Amino acid sequence: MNIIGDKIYIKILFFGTALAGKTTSLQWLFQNLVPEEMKITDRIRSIKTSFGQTLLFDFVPIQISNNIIIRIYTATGQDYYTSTRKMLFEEVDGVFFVVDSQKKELEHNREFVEEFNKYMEKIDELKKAEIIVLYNKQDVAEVYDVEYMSASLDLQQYPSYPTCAVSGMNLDRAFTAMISSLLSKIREMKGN
Amino acid sequence: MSRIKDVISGILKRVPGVIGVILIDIDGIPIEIAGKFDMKAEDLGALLAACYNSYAQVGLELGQNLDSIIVEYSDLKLCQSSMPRGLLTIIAGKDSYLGMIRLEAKRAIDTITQIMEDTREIRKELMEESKFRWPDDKTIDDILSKFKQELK
Repeated sequence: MNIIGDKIYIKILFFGTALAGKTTSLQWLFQNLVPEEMKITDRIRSIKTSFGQTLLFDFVPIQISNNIIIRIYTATGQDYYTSTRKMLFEEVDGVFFVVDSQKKELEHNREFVEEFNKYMEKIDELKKAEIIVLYNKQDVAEVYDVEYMSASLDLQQYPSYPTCAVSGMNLDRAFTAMISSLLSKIREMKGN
Repeated sequence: MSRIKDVISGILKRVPGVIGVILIDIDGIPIEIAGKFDMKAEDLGALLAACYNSYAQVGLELGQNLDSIIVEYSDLKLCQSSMPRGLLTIIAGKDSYLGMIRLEAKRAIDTITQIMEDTREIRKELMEESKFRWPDDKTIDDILSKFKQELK
C-alpha cells in the first residue's frame, strides 16, 4: 500500500496463463460490480498485441472512497512476454491467480505456479499480499474440479473460488472478499 | 511538497514549448502534475511507468542503467528521466529544444531528489500537509456495504 498525498493506493493484479480469463474477469467486474460512483475512468486501458491479446497489461483505477484508490492490473499471460510480467508484481497488495481449469491446461498452469513461487521468494510485497485463486472456465467441458486442481497445483493454502469470467459466476464474491481483506489490513495499519 | 510543486511548475513556466510535467512514483502513481493532459493522471502514470520499466528491463539485459527516454511523436516530444523511486516526464511541442528540456529535467531531478532525500520524512510531511487521515471504520464499512449491495 502506498500513501501519497492524502490518498492510499492499493494495487491488485490478475495473474495466470494466457487465455485463462484475466482480462474477461476484470471487464466483468468493472462493468457489473464496481459501482458507477467509484469509476475514475470510463474504460479499462489495455496494451494489446496486434492480434488482440494483452501485450503488457490492462489497467483500471477505481476510487472506493475519498482517499482510497485501487489500481487493478492484469499481467500478460503470453509466455513470450515473461520478462515484462515480473515488473507488475512490484508493490502489489492483492493477487488474483487465475487458473484455467481445462484439463489440457494443467501443465501450463503448473508452470505459472512455479513462476509465481519464484516471484514470491524474491518480492517482499508479494509475501504480504492477499492471494485469491480463481479456478476459471468452470462452465466449459473437460475441466478439473477445484479440489483436484488446488491439490495438483499445490495452491490449497489460498482462498479460492470456482469461476466463470464470461457469466461472472463467483467473481463478485471473490472481489468482495479481496476488498474486504485489504480493508481489514487498512484497519490494522490504522490501529498501529 | 509545495517545493516539489514549485519545481515542476517552474519547468512549465521557464521552458518554451513545454505543455506538461508529471512526476510519478516508480510504480506509476502520480505525485505532482503541472500543465494540462487529456488523460487521467492515473492512466498516464501507469502507462509511463510501464514504458520506462520495459526499457529499464532491456537495459538490464544489456548491462546498462537507464537514465532517460526521449520519444518523438508527430506533434509532441516526451522526455522521461529517472530519479530515486520516481520518474519525471516532460511533454513539449515538437519545436521545443530537447537540449534545454534535458537540462531542465536534470536540474529538477537534482532538486527533487534533495527534497525527497528522506522518504519517511516526506511521507510524514505529505500526510500532515494534505491532512491525510486513515479511513474510519464507518468509511470502511460503507465501502463494503456498497460492494455487497452490488452483489445482491
